[in-house]
Amino acid sequence: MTAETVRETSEDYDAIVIGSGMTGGWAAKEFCEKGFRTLMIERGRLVEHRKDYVGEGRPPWEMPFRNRVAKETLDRDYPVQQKCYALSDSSKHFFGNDRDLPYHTPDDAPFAWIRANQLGGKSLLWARQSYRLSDFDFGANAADGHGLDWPIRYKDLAPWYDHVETFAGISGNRDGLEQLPDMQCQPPFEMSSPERAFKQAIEKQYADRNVIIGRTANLTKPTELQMSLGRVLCQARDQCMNGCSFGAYFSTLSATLPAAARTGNLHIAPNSVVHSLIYDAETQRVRGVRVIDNEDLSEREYFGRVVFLCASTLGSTQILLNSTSKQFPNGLANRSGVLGHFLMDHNYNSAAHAKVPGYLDEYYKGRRPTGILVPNFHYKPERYAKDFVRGYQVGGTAYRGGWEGGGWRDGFGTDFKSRINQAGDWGFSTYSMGEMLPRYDNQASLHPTLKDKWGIPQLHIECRWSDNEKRMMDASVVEQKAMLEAAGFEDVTARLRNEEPGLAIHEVGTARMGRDPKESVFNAWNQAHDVPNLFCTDGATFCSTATQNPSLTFMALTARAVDYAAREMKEKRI
Amino acid sequence: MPPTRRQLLKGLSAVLGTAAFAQVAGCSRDVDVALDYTPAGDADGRSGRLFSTDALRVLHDVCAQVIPTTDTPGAHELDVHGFIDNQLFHCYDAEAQALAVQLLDAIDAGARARYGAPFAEAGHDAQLALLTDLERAGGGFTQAQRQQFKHLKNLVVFGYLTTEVGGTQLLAWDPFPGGFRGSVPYASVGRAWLGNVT
Repeated sequence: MTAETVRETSEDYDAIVIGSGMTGGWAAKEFCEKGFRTLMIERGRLVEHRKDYVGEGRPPWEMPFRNRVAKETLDRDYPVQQKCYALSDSSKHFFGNDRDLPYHTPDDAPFAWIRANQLGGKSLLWARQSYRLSDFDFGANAADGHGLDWPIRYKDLAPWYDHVETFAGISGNRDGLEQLPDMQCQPPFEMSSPERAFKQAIEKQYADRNVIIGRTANLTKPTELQMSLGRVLCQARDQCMNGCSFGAYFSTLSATLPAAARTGNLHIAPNSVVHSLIYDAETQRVRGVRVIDNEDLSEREYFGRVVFLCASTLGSTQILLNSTSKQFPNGLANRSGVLGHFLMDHNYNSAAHAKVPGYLDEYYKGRRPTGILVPNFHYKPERYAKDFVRGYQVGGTAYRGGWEGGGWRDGFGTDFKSRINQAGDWGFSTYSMGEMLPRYDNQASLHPTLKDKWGIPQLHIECRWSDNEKRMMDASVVEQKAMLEAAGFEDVTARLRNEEPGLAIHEVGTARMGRDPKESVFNAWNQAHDVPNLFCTDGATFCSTATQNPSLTFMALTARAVDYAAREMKEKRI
Repeated sequence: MPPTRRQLLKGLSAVLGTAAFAQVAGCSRDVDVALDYTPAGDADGRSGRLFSTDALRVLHDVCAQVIPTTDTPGAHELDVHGFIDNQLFHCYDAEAQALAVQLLDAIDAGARARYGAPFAEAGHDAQLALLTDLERAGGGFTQAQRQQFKHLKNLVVFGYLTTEVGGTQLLAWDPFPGGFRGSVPYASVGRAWLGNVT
């Protein structure tokens, strides 16, 4: 079940897939399973499932700083990446080294670009929350006039959601909510008692709100297909971002790569940093890809009949911007001029906490890899709040206080020692996840002079929260506090945070889909309006953020686009 | 009937293969050695990376006062003082380091002023009385010093409970829960989970 790795080759592949993360893994799997010889290009190193999960399963006493990271290492290699919640000593090798990955932002507008440049990409690190977008999301831009209408609707994507969910394996409940369509689900994780109490209180006191268990790409009842790929039941370790040898969470390495590899059609070109796409003006097609070697900086080219850009939202846009020609002086497929614009992320800038009285005779067993969720209750214009458009969802979890912070207790000696290993009170924490409006001014462009070590122009990223997002966060502070109080919890505190965009790692937009070539880069099939054998299926093509985590939609868009491309190739139209 | 952990692990070993299982189970690890820290036992009279010999001796006794020997080893016996020295040196900024050094100096100076002897030689009860005052910001200690002591005390607790003894004998360690249950009787666990250390 291994794929052949490639360096120099003159082969003309059926399909070239740029990127090996969430999106690229799906493109490669779908092409390979349809019988196409596929080249997956990855800018970083190879990572082997299991063998290279060097931080997995290590108890703290086996780690030099008990899973903290040396400050010297953080300051030197991860000044940006260290802002990401998922970076620890046991996961840091899956984050990009900031010294090698410079980009530029205005002094007053930081943007955190979280990078994971290796085989598997950010699919190794993702938080695994998986939700469908609904027709309220696909229709939101048209309904309230912010941004360009999505060229697709829920019915276009629904069968492809079915397809990717069944393969990936998502645990969750069928909650029957119109704003958060039901999915193909494996059994949900359980709520704890305080979470069930919260659900009961909120659903009783708020007609417009629901509390559900988070839907997460962890196997709770693996299928035969999943087991045939070496994937087994989630052990509830909640250490997914270190890599999982059980293959229990969905990643390229656990799922799409082995599925693609066993067809015999998959080839992988690692350490290949895509510089630009090669455009043939005569045929008006892309012929292939120009790459710089990640390590020795030499140049080489790969050729194929169709190219899928799956290099991440900003990665794909950077490649398009850097692919210039007489026909496309401002970036490939950019006749519209919108390439680089309408960058978005989710806004997590509010949080709340409460003490939960009681339940002291209860505990949980295992470390659940998901939380609870209050889905967006402002999901259509008639439900919008007075002073902002769109909405937010609220995530959260109940937990029982443990030993951390035991030093805040007073006392010494045998008595103190006898208390430090006892569980404490229950707490409940929540956070918001707000929609960000598409705005032209939020953009990524090529810096006129600065380049990276591969000679590729650095991105200049300008992205700011707007007043709408700020008003939404103000409201969400009030609402989170009210909900925790409504549940009868105590000592409720709620606060705004001041995190820059990027840290949700849900960056989308900058090469949006649309019906009109004058206003968009890609069409309803994720196919470039101007270059019929060029597709992009990652977050770059999003027209809005909705409130849901985006990865499941990357997967569904990708599978759908490959199916379309395959049909077009068969009909010899591309 | 749900499988026992032994059955579960045996089953996983069969699914994954022995080599992969050994890796999952943490049986074969290349441990980082470059910056690693090796517990030094209860050795006394050495200097640390951050702390002087005297300061480390003070911290040794602070560890023993906070988490003494019972039926399990005390913090000083697991070199928690050496761990704290190493952790502060590598993972904390210069200000936090300086505050920790100042605090240990103040504890030693407090003992000399009060008892005419260095902290390490003041005797158990005198040490306890002084640390109790410090933790209450009494006896001449300030609120700022109390606050600083709380940070240090948290490092003692963290350093102790993340040793193998602390994590597996005092706390409940569950490397392969096998699934999640949202409600079990607390008595069935009886102590806090070690959990994921981040």
